[in-house]
Amino acid sequence: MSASATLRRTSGGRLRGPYWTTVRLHRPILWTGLALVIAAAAVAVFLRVSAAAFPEKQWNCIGACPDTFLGFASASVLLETFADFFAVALLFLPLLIGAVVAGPMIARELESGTYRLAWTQSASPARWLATKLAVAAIAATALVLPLVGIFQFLRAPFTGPVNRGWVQRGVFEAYGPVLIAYSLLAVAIGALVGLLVRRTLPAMAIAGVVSLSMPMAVGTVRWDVFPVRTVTGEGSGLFVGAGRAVDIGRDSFLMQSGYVTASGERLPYNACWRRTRDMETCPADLNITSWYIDFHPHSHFWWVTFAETAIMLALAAAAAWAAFRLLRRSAV
Amino acid sequence: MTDTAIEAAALGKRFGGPSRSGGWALRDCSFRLPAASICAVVGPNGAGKSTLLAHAAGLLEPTEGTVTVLGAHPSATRERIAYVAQDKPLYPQLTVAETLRLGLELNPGRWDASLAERIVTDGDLDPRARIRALSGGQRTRVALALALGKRPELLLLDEPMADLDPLARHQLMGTLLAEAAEQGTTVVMSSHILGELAHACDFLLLVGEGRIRLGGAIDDLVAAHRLVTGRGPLTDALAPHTVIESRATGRGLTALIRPAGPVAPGWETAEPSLEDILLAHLRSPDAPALLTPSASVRSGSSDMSAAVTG
Repeated sequence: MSASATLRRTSGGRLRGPYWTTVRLHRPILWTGLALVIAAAAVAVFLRVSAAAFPEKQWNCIGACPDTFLGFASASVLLETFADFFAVALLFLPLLIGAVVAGPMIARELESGTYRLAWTQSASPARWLATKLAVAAIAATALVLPLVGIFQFLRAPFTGPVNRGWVQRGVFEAYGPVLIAYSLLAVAIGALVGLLVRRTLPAMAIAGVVSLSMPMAVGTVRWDVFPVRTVTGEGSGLFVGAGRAVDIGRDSFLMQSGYVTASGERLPYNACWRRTRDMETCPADLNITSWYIDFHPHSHFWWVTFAETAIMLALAAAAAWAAFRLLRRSAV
Repeated sequence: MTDTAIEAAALGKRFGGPSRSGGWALRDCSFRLPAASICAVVGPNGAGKSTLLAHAAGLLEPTEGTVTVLGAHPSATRERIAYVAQDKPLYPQLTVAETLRLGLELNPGRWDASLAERIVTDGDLDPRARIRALSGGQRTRVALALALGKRPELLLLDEPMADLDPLARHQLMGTLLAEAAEQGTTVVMSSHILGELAHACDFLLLVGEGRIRLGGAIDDLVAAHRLVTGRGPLTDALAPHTVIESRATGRGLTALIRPAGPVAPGWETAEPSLEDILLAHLRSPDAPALLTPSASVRSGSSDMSAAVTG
C-alpha cells in the first residue's frame, strides 16, 4: 500500500471532530472496558448454566461433605457467593471511572504538554473538555448498564417474590440508576481533579478515592437519613406471642422498634425483657404509654433511588461546572 | 481584516503567583508585528521567547497588559493560527496518519490534506509509524505538517528547527516559506541560535530579560546602525550618537552606533551585518531598546475594538 493511500485509509469511520480524537486517543481504555463486560458476562453465563446443570444434592449432608463443584459445596453456592462478591465489586466502578478520567484522559494531557496541541486547533479548550466528558459519560454508562444487568442475571435464582436484600450495600446500588449516577459523578470528579492536580498518578489516586468515598459514605447513612414510616399503638403490646404486634411485611426493612414512656422518651425494644425476661410483660415503673416500629417499606426503595440519583446527578453537574470554570482560568 | 498580525501592549507575565518576588517572564513588552511578515524572535535562553509565543497562541493569560492576534483576543482566533511548541507535543500512541487525521477532524473546513501529506512523505515517514517511535527530527516534521495543514493566517513556531539535520532544515524551511508566500501567512519563529533564521526572515524581535530590545523590519534595523572604526577618544567623536558597544581592535576602536547625524570625519563607517547588531546588543544589556515605526504600537490601536475595525 502506498504511503498516500495509507494516509487516506484512516479517514473511515463515523465519528467526527473531537469525538473521533477522544475515542481514538483512549481506545485501549474503551477496549478494556468492553473486555471487562464480556468477561463478566461469560463468567455469569457459565455459573448460571452450571447451577442449572448440577443441582444441589447434598446440601444437608452431615460430617464431611464431598466437594461437588470447583471446591464449593455446589454450583449454586458458588453462584450465590459470586453474586455477593459481584455486588460489592460493582461499588468500585466509580473508583475505576474517576481514576481513568482524571489520569489518562485529563491530567496526562496537561502533564505531557499535549494540551498545547489540542487547545491550539480550531476546536476550543471548552469543546475539548466537553467532548472528553461526553465520551467518558457515555462509556461509563455503557460499562455500568451491562454489568448491572449481569448482576441481576446472577442473582435471579435467589430472588423470589420477596425482594431479598434490597437495602444491602451493593445490591441497592446495583439496580441501575443509583450506580449510574455515581459513575457520572465519578466522571465529573475525575475531570475536576485532573484539571486541578495536572499530574497523572496523583490525579488518579485522588479522583479514585473521592469517587469511591461517595457511594461508601452515602451507603452508610442512606437508611438513617431517609424518613422512616412509623406504626404506633397504645400500651405496651409491642410483642404479641412470637412476633411484633404489627407485621410490617417480609420485604420491609426494620430500622428500630421500642416503647414510648409518659415523658415521651423512647426505650429500646428489649427494655421490658431486660427487666422481666419476658417480651410481653413490662414493669409499671417504666411508665410505658405506647410502642412504635420505625421501618422502610419496600416502596421506599424507589423513593430513595430517585432522591439519591437526583442528588448525585446534581453534584455531578456542579463538579462539571467547576471543571469548566477551572479550565477557563487555566486556558485563555 | 487587519494589517497587524500580533500586537502586544505592556504585556507582562509572572509565573508562580504574586507572593514570589520577581518571576517575571515578560515585562512591559510592547510591539506590533505587521501581517505577512516572516519574523524571527531571537534572544538568549530564558529571555521570554516561548512565553511570548504561548501568549499569542492563546495558551497563557497575561498577568498585565494585552496581546491581540489578527485583530482579536487570542482565544477568538484559534482557527486562524497554528502553534508548534518547543517540545513538539504530539500524541505518542497515534500513528503519523492518525495524527494528520486529527488535524482534519479538529480543523474542519480548513484542513489541507494534500499539503500535510506532502510534508510527511517528503521526509520518507511511514504513515503507519507510531509517533513514539519517531526521532526528534521526524516528530518536528509531523508537527509542522499538522501546523501547515491547518492553513493558518499566523504560524507560531517555537524553536522549530532545533532537531533537524541541515538538509531537512533547508528543505522544510523552503516548504514553509513557499507556503507562507503563497498564502500570505505571517510566520513567527523563535530561536536562540542567532542568525539561524536571519536569512529567511524580514522582521526581527530581539527579546532580552522579558522585554523587546530590538524590533522592526530587518532592513530598517540594519539601516539604523553603523559600524564605525577609527582611532582617538571615543567619547568626543561619537558623543552625539547612541553607542551600543565599543571594542578595541587591531586598527584602533570599533563601535556599533545608532547614528544621530553624520559621523565625525576620520572614522570609517560600514553597514553592520544583522549578526553584528544582535551580538552587540546581547553583549550590552543596558543598551536602549529600539522599535522601528513599523514595529511600534500605534496609538489607540492597543484597544481591542479599535484593532478589530482597523
